[in-house]
Amino acid sequence: MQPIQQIRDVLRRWAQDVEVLPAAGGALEELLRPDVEEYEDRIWGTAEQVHEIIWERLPDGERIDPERPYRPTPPRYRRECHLFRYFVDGSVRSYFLGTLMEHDRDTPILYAQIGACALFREANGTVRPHALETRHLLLASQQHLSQQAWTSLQKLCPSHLVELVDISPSQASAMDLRNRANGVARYRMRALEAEIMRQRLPDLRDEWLVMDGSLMFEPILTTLQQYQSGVPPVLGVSKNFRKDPQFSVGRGPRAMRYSIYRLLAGLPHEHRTLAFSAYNGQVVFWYVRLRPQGAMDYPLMGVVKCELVTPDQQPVDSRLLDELSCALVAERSVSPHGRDRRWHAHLYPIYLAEQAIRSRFYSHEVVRQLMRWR
Amino acid sequence: MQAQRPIIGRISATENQPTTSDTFYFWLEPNQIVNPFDIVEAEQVAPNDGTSRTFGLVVDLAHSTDARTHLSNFISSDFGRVEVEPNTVRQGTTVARVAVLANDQDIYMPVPCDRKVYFADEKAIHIALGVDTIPVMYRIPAGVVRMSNGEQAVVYLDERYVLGPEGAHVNITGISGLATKTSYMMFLIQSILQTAEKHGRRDQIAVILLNVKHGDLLCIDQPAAELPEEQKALWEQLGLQPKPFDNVRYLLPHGKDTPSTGRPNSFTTPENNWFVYAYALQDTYQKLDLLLSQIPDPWDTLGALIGEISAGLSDPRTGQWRPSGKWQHVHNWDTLLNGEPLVKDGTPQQVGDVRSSSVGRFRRLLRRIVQTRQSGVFVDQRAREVRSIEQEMARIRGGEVVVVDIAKLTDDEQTLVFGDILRTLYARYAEADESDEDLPEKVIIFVDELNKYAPLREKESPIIEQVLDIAERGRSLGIVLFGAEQFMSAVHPRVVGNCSTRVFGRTGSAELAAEHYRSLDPAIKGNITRMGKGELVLEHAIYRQPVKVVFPLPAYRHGCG
Repeated sequence: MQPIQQIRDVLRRWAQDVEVLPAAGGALEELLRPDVEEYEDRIWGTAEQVHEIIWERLPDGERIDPERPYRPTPPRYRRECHLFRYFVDGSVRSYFLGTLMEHDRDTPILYAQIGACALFREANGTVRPHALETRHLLLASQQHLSQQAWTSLQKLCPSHLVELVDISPSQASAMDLRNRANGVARYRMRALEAEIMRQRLPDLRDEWLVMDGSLMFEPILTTLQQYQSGVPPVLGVSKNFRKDPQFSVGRGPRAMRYSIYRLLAGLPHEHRTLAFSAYNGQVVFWYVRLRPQGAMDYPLMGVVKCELVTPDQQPVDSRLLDELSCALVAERSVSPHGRDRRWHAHLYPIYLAEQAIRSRFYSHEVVRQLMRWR
Repeated sequence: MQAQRPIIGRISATENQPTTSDTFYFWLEPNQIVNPFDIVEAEQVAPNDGTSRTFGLVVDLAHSTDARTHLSNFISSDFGRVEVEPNTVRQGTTVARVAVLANDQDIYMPVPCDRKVYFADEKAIHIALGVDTIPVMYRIPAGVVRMSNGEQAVVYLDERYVLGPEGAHVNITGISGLATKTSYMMFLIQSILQTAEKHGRRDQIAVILLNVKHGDLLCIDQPAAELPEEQKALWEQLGLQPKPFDNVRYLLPHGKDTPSTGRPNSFTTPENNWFVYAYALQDTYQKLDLLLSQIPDPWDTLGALIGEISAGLSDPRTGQWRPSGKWQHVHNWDTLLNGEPLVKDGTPQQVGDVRSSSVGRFRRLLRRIVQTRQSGVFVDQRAREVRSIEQEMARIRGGEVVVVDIAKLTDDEQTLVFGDILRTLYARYAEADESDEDLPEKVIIFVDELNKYAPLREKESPIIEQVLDIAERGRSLGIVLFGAEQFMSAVHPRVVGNCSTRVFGRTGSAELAAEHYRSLDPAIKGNITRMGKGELVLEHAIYRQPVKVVFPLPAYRHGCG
């Protein structure tokens, strides 16, 4: 029997003891907001609004030009230097199953499939999954259920099959429980990504691992901060990022202040910005333009945000940032154009990792047809 | 054993391309080479959770990637920079479309997704094609299937569908110049004869070959000067001996200078056992319709006059040659054309109901054919040693191979000779009874350029009728037609339609668009346009799909001289 059939049976048995208002038409997919990464960056990322610390060590003799805070990063292809070997991404797909009611209390119950995948790229450019994990989650608020109902559900859920996740807010919050459940599912997905990354981390030496999204989220950040030997070889690459930070470059009267729009509008093709500090020097981040502005619909398209964690809280050598950026520019070929609307800033191996995870998920049809209360 | 064979891919069934009882798809392991016409086997369901094997023929292959449009690939190369090497290889796979041939447990459920696929081995190929159902004594080696993994298998035709009684006739088509059509027919005939000999039935089969080009078939009893080793190996692989034909008799046409030189009107002269044939009026008066087959006769005036002549020159009681009455002075071509009753004082006369103007037309046509433009095959009287085709056909014996040379004859003369052979044999077999012990059980007639004698034409003609008789009724009589032509679309559909075995050499796409080829999958047609020398696609009544084969070069000498 498929796991999803067993989960359905769990719910059906449980529904005999509790009152359920099923979602109309069976399981209803929870659609993510289109800018979820940007949203999370704004909500969960660093609180600093103005970044004025350049967090890189320029080579001897070079000085910061406040009017031109960019460095050239021509593409450096795999055949010259195969830097990025691992690509980690996570994916989540959640469904609203219904509302559980007890007296005047109620809680949504959601089913989520989460997964994370690390792809390894061979020397010839082909990729293969190095690690691929998927999990099934049932999400409900314990606070909104009697102890009896929660325990009954806990007992019915076989731990090897599905994890029952409590979405109760830690403090009084007006946040919608369904939104919270989706946030919790995403957190669990990132924890899975972090786990895969953590397993790989000790063996990475000259090889680098690219993580999709920001490194400033937990538990990823904490995992990397514990790295003992300098900068951990993990590069966070975000397609979407917050658009509200400000940047100050230079000191004294020559200092220039940039909004992110101004900074990126002036970022030439195959260049990066100078790197800035975040989280009080624990993270260094910068932006790289992968594709020419003229070929994009909007100047901010074709740009990715890169992050490194610096456990020693020291500025990073510019040559390393240049090297990483050059290799990243080369990643624009191949692109998932036509397959993903974020193609202009998407890395193809990350896209493939996402596809690998999704191919493990049950399809919408299967979930819709099987996840019925009766 | 099966577990040791490498898996070459797995079945793929999708929303848009599901597997069916007739078709399945499989994706190939990267770097795996598979070509159209390879035969593969897939694991299939069976009762009690068992496994059966479904065999199929690879029809075509397609490579697809996750790029939605070509523009995506253009953009991926940094907006059209040709020097850019992709950092990551784009995800793509080659998918083979396979036509289901058979299942070893007769299960024709669609093959489920993700089942393993292997190359078929020789035994599996035989099951796939249905060769395993042919009793060994009826198996005629027809070529070797060579697959992309190096696996080879001899394929067989079922004699009962080649020589009758279940089916009959073989037709081969393809562009000229690849030395494939005639070579294959000669190989197949050799294969039939050697197989029959193996089973003690050689004396039951006679073969008549019409040589239509140069001296191609005039030395078939002589060994080839040097047969390459790989060709010898191929003959042996087929269980046959690379040897020339034996018991061969050559019939060569009389020429204009034959009376003075004694040489026939042939491109080359065989070393021995050859005879000259010719047509005197006495041999032809009942076949004038064949001679004038190519002449349009919408009102049947020529037909009526031919009937008058035939009746006038025959003995009414025996039907044999005996001009009488007003025809008594007709004894050769000249007296027929210039004497009474067709002409008097140089003026054409009415004969029976045929008006004098029609008689005049008949004279003009016949004079042109048998006198002014003839090759020398028409004679006033045959000399003692000069044979007639009718008599030669009447004395054909089992085990014999008779080559009739018509290469240097005009079109009308060729039609007469071919029609004469067919008519004589048809009459002989149709009227045969058990007492006719000398009559071979089967006679194979091979003719190239079949479209000349059975063209696709609205109006029937005497020669077309003769060929149709053989095509439609020869199977039951034991007369088997092996025909070859460049364009099958130019041949009468009833002739091709009656062939149980059709063979395709390389053919142009324009020709393949014709109605005659509609049974072939479009992808197979595409492959037929690309085939090389010595490669053929074989369609046989037993096979569920056509297969591509190679065959050895004939082991006889091409042209004496």
